[in-house]
Amino acid sequence: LVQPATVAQADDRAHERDLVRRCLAGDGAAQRDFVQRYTSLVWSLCRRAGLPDGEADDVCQEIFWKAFGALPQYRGESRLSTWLCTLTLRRIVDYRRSPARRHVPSGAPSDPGFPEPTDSPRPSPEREALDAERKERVHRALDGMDEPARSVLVAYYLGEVPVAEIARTLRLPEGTVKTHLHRGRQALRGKLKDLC
Amino acid sequence: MLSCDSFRDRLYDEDARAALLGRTPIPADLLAHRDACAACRQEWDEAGADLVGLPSLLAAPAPVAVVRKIRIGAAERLQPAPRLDWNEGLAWAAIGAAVCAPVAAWVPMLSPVVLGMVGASIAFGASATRRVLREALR
Repeated sequence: LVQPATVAQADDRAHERDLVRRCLAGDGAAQRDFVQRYTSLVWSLCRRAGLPDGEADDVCQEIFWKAFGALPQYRGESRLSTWLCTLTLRRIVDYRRSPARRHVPSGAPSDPGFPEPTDSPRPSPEREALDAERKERVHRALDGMDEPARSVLVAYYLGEVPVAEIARTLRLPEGTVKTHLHRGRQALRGKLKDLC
Repeated sequence: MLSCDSFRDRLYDEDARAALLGRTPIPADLLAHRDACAACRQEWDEAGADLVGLPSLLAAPAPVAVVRKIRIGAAERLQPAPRLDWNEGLAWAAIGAAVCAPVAAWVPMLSPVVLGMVGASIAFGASATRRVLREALR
């Protein structure tokens, strides 16, 4: 019996393969769609994994240049977002190992002026305040986390990267990745528990 | 039957993620333990809520300048590889041959066939190079 969700996933994959094919054929609308769809995801992953603003911008662009070069090899085995997030995670790991890295990856997501979403429908002021408080607490909790716990949490929840892929990229046992996920989740829940 | 620790670890596997997000049925081992253990049932519910709720708390829109640069980069870098137009190439080769073959009248050492082939090759190569350069500079 074929599950409707499985059919929907197959449709998504087919749509993504088509998007990639059109991008590679030089279709400007498809390229804009691709960039619009995935830039915020990759950039958020860079920022939440602790890269400072300017570095996140540069690393985000590098990841896309690399992704554009690798697109002809994309066969649709994984979702496009997962594929991009795995590339991002690898690049972040390289960035952290690079001797040229100048900044300590902490505190960045709560820098003043950090952009917040503006394109979603406006909720009530109370809801908005509550969401802002939740975000603030999550960002603070992330700032307080050590590596690789923070990257593990961000890759799994924001990038939807599978545990096996995170483990391979960060060279950690899968059990360790799961432990980081469990502890990280508990830490975030602890920070949010008094908010309804 | 899974232990509570194994259940907790299994929550992060991809089949569990898909089930927590309602995309697929709950795997049998997880379902059996979840139905038998109240604490793990709560753990399951919390894991599902986190999968739904955390991405929006972690996400942020990329700066407009970054999106713009990447969009321009996409237009520059995602171009189909230049392909040789054989019709155009052969047409130029014929023109090259027609122009060069009569030169044999002034160069007695070389036959019109050889000079025609040389002319065809040069014209064909120039035509292909022009096409590749035009694509590269676009």
